[in-house]
Amino acid sequence: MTCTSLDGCYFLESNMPKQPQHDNCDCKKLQISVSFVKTKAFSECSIEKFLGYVFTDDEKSKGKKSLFESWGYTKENAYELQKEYQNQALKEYLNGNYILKDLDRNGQRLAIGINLKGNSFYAGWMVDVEGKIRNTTPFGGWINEKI
Amino acid sequence: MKKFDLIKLININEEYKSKNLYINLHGIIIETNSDYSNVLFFNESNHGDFAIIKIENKDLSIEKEQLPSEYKNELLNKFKSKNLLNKVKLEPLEIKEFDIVELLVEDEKYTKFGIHKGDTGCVMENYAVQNYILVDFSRINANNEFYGDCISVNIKDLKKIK
Repeated sequence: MTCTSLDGCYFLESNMPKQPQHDNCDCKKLQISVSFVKTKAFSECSIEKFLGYVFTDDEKSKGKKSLFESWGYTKENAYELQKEYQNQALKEYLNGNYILKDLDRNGQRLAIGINLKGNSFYAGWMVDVEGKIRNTTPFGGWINEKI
Repeated sequence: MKKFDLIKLININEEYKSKNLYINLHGIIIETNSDYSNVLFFNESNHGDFAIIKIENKDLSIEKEQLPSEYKNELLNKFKSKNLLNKVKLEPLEIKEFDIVELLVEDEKYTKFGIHKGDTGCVMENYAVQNYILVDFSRINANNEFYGDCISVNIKDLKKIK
């Protein structure tokens, strides 16, 4: 059941996965306050998403290394990028500015807009329990493109 | 030590290693006597995989936390419905985060995302869930056009390339 991967996850009521997810689904939606979510929510973007993926080589990152380098970033900027991703994504998540993407046994994915030096694009995130969102992929398509 | 105690593995030996156990792995006592316990371990690298393994009691330490009663009931029901005792080894995950992998099959569950047999991608998680792992098949071409998607793929449908 994919709904079990939503257990303990926080969403804005106006932008949440459909409920019920399936016949005889016994999941319950619990109301929690925005102020509570703000005290709990945090975003995590592993530094390895940059050091072990984006800035390795283009065979692995498939064009992302070249793209980030064209914006003036190198692996020396990995920690700066990590912080920027975490800050921007958390702010957008708390404001409900995310697109619900696939939901399956691995969890609910979100596309959240990131802006780096005037370049706007989506990054992929996974919703974990108790307000945590975790970066899955640093680049998930251009904003204004169908995703 | 009693049934449903939460434990931690504190000693390791060759037999335990052969079953892919490691120090500090947590588990749940399923059966116990004065010398040995059958312990339910969950595979942290592939959520949903488990094994029930005979462990000497001296190799276990009991945790302070207690298993909630609803989980005990759920486990009892699982044991009633299936014979789980023949699963005696945790399966290692051969594919790791940031490995480059190739999709081996043409399947609607992947093609609906535009991902086809022979496509290569990069593994984006260090664990699987019920044998499915997240793989980023996206790419950006020389004109900065974006293609592909980041999707869950069954590990049996993947071949590690690098």
